[in-house]
Amino acid sequence: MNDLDKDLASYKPRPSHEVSTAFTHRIVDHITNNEPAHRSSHFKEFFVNIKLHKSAAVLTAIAAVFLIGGSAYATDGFTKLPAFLNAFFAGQSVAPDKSRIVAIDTDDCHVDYYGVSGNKASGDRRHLYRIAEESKVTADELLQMVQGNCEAGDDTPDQNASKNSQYAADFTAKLGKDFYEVTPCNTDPSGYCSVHTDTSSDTADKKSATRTLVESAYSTYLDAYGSDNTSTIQTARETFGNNFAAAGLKSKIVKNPYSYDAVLCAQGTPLSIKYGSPAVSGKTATMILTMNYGESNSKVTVTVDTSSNKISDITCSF
Amino acid sequence: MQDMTEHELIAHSLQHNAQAYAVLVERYKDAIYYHCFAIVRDEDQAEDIAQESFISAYYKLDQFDQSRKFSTWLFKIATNNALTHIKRSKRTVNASEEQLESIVSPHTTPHRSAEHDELHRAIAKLSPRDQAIISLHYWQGLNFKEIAETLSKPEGSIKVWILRAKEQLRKELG
Repeated sequence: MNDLDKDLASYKPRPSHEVSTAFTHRIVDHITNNEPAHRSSHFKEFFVNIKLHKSAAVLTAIAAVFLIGGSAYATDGFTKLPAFLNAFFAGQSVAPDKSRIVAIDTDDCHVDYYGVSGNKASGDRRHLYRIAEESKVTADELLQMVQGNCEAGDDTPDQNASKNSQYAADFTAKLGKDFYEVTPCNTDPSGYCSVHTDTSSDTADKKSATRTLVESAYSTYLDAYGSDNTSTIQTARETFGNNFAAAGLKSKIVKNPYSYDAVLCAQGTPLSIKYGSPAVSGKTATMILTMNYGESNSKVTVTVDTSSNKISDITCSF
Repeated sequence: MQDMTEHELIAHSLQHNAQAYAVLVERYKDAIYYHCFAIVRDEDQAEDIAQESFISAYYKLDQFDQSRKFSTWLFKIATNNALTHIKRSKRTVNASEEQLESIVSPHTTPHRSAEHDELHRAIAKLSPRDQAIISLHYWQGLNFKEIAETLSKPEGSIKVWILRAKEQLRKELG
């Protein structure tokens, strides 16, 4: 454990006071007065909310919910499920980078940006999603995934549960890959919709993640490698393989019985390593490392699978 | 009821036994509150988010996979709620000097070391997500696999994010 690890472990931000003495009591009070739990009727909660709000806007929303939620239709193999929580398609446009921006309004539904359903939100909320240019996901499919993710986290009629569960799983699997939630362009000072879901998912962050991964992998490797002791070298290889390499590459590195090293593409330890800028293409990033051996240099190309943040290949060129 | 195992308390809570759930709340309220505070840096908001998280967890208890750790599931809900709170409030967590002074370390109170002063200023400059990860790993004791489960992200991403966060901290600390 290095010094920073020790400092972080010994430091813990602490609020100026503990939780109030009524903390647990308030929770018990709430759940006691809002039974039945676990399978409470969302229909009932919905109308409780309506009574509380009593606004024309909410009544309009109810009409929309009944009209759209009460009907069932099929689009592209996705079946719209009758529901009291709903997601509405609100428009689509094409961004300068050819990705599609899809606006989806959710009514009384919460979809958070980690793709996990959280609390039921009150009122409407607009979500903007950017569908990557190369993705085949359609706006209708995205709408259904948002709807399913919303429904899966709340009380849902049993006959829809498995379908919603599948939509929610699709949503979680594709968020950050096929599509990203973005901030509204008109509130973004840059004038462009910025991704704020998975920061490793856009090109800039893929580059940053790749640089960090490769530099960490090689600096760790050299620290542990600097010895003629065979077991030390083998330990370094295993550490590299376990922490930084994809499965296929790991076996190539760890099982390497030769003095020629598959990580460094050399038989000796370089004096220094110069790290080039990563280049990103889809889910793959490559980075060229220049190994400085004093009178000579060698080039090593490191390939990173950005979806798993693992080094997937190392190729040598001289 | 205090002596019941976590599984027994969950089973009773699923039968609408609020007192059983109260025992679970008592067991985890400090950890969840501290974790929320580490992200939002405001005591009142942290308490509200912690409370919402316990209530939300109660209503979703039938969805909890009992082969997993209950605390990890709670951290997942609380982390999402805290990050969503920050996102919705559209505010950054660049804490003011006054707010920073309110963040005290139990190990050095009332005379914190200069190193810890620097460290908590540096941590405050991390993104909310990275602060959440630092909190989960270093202060709540979750391992990488558990954090990955908490944030619904691959374990490899968590490792890289922690490396990046530490790199940023090193730069901030000079």
